[in-house]
Amino acid sequence: MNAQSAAKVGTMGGPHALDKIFCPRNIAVLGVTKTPGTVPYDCFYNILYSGYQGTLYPIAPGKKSICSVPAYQYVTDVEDEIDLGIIILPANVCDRALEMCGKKGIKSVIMISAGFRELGTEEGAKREARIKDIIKEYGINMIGPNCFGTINADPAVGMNASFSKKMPYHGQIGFMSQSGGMCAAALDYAMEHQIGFTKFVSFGNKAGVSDVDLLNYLHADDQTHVIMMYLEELGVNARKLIEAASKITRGNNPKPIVAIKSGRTARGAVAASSHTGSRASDDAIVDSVFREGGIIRCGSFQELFDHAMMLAYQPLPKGNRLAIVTNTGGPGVLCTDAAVTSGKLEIAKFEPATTAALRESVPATASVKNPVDVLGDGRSERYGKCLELSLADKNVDQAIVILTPHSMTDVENIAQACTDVQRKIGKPVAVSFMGGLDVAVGVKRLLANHTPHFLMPEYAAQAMANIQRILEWRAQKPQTDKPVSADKAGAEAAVKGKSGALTAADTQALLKAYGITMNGAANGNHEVLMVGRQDATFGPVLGFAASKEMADAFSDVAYSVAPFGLQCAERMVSTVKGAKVLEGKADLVAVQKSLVAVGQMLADMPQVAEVEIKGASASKGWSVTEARIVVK
Amino acid sequence: MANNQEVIDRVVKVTARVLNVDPGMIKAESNFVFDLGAESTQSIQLVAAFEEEFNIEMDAEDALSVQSVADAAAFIQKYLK
Repeated sequence: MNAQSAAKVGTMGGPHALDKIFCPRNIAVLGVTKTPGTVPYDCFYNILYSGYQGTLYPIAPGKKSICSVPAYQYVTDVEDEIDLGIIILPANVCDRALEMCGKKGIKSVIMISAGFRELGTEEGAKREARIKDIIKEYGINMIGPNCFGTINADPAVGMNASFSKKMPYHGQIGFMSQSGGMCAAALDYAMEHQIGFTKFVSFGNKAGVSDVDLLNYLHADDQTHVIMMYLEELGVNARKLIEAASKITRGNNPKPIVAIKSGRTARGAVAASSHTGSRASDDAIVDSVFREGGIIRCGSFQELFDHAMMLAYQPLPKGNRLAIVTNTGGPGVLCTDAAVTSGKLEIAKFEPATTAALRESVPATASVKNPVDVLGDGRSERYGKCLELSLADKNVDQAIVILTPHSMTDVENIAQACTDVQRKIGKPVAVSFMGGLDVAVGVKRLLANHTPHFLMPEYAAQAMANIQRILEWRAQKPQTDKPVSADKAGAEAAVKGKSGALTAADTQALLKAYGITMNGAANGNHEVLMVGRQDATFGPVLGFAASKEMADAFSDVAYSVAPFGLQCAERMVSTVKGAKVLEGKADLVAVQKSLVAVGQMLADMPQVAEVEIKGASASKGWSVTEARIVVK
Repeated sequence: MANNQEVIDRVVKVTARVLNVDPGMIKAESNFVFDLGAESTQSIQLVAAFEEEFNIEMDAEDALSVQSVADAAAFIQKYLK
C-alpha cells in the first residue's frame, strides 16, 4: 500500500476529491497584495501564520515577495505541481485567473472574490456562468465564488485560508455556511466558548462544489463527529441535500446534522394564500423535510451551538430519563416543564437506595425527589455528591445541573464537580449556571472542560430532547417500498388537454387510477386532509393534517417530498399534533396508504400542480369526501 | 491628435513608476490588475498620474473601469483631441 492510499480522508494527500481543498500539500494564492487590511493580503497572511504545514506560493505580479515569501507573476510560473489555488482578485479578471489555474493543472480552487450571481445583475450572472464553463472545461472542484474561505484546524494541516484572523481550536465539529458573516461570528463565538472545529467552510454561491458535496465530505471525514450547517437558500439541490442528510444521519456511520435555514419569514406571505396546496409556506415544508432528513433544525445561532456542543462533547444517552439537580426550586420546575412538554424526555424515578443515599447527603429540608434540591447553601461537595448519586442511578440516563448564585455558592468548584462526576459516571450532563457576573468564573471553567453550558435550563432540556429525536431517527431502519401500482394510461387520460381545476369526473378518474375511490360519502366522522403541490424548491410535496381546521388554525401540517413510502407516511401522520385526536378512531393505516398513492401521483405527474383532498375515516377504512386537483 | 505609440510609451512609463514594476514586463495588452498586480489604491494613483502626465482631467469612474495599457492609451487619446 503506498502512502497515498494509506492516507485517510481529511489528511494531507487524502483520497477524497475535496482533500486538496481542505488538506492541500501546497497552495497558490492569486491576487495577493502588499497592503495589510485588504482581503488578499490578510488571507495570505492568515495562511502563512496559522501554522500551515504545506508550501505557499503568492502570485503577485510586479512584486518580488509578499511577507518575505518569493512571489510569482503568474501561477503557471510555479514549477511545482499545485494542489489548491485561491483566487482573490476583482471579479472581472477571475475568469482569467481560473483559466490559468486550469492550464497549470490545478484541480481545486477556492474563489473568495465577490461580484457574481449574488449581485442580481445580468453582468454578475454572466460572470458566474463563465466561471462554471471554465471549471467544467478543466475539471476543477471549486468552492465559491463570494465566500469567506476554508479552514482546517487539524494541526497536521493548520490551514486558515480565510479572512478570519482567528484559527479556531481543533475539535470535532465540521462547520459549513452559505454566509461568510456567519462564519466570522461563529469563529469568534467558538473561540470564546472554547469550541473546536475540524473543517470550517463558507461555500458562497456554490458555482462548483455544492452543499451536498460538502455534507458528504464531512460525513466521510473521520475527525468530524457533528456537522453544523447554515443555509440561506436550498436551490436546485434541495432534494439531493435531504437525501444525502438522510443517509448521513443514520446508517453505518451516523453523524448528527444541526442546521439553521434562515428566511423563515420572507416567504410568510405565501402561507396566507388560501389556494389549494399553496397553503404551506416554504418554511413549513423546510421544517418537515429537514425532519425527514434527520436534520435538527435550530431557530437561532445560540441554539445551533448549544446542540453542537452537547453532541460533540457528551456521550449519547442510553435512554430518555432525566435527573435534575438544582439549588433552587423555580428553575428546577422550569426545566421539568421543558423536559416534559418536549414529549421526548421523562423525569427519572430514582431507586429507593438512591433516594436514601441522597437523604443522607442533604439537609432535612431539601427535596430528594427528582428534581433534587441541594438548597441555596449547597456547595461543591453537596452538588458533586447529589449529582453522582443521581447520575449513577440505573433509572437515569442523563442529568441537568442548575445553579443560581448565592453568597455561599462556590461556583467554580461546582463547575469542576460537574465535569468530574460526568467523566466518572460516563452519562451525559448539561449545566445551566443562571445569571451573569457571579457565575462567569464557573461558566468559564465548564467551557474549558468541554462540559456543555446553557444560558437557561430549558435550553438544555430542548437540546437533550432533540438528541432523543436523533436516537429515534437512527433506530428507524429505512424501508424500501414497492412502487404504487397505478393505471398510468387512465391517469394521463384524465388530465390530457386540461388546465386549471379538474372536473369532478376527471378528479375521480385520476384518483381511481391511483387506487383511491371517491364517492363523496363520509366513511366515519374523523376528517383528514391531504395537500400537495409542485414546490419550486423541492418538487412534488405532499402534506397531511388531521383536519382542515388544524391546518388552517394551527398550521399543523406534516410534509414530505414525494414519492415516499409507508414508513414516511406513518411519520407524517404521527408528527401532526392532531394525530392524537385520530388515534384509535380513524383507520390510519388506510390513510397512510393513500398518502403514499397521492404522493406517487404528484411525483409521476408534474402537470398536477396542486392537490387538496378531504376525507373522513372510521375505525376501518376511509373515503374521499371532497377533492380539488389543479393541472397546468 | 497625439501619436498613439507615443501615448502608449508614456502610459507604460507612468505605469512602471506608479506600480513599481520593470517597464520590460509591461505590454500593450497587459491588464493592470491581473498582469501587473495593481492594487485598488494604485488604480486610483494611476488615474491621477495619467492626468498629470497628459495634463488632462478624466471622468474618474470611466477611467477606473479601463483594464489594459492599450485601453488606457485609447481612453487618454479621447481627451487629447
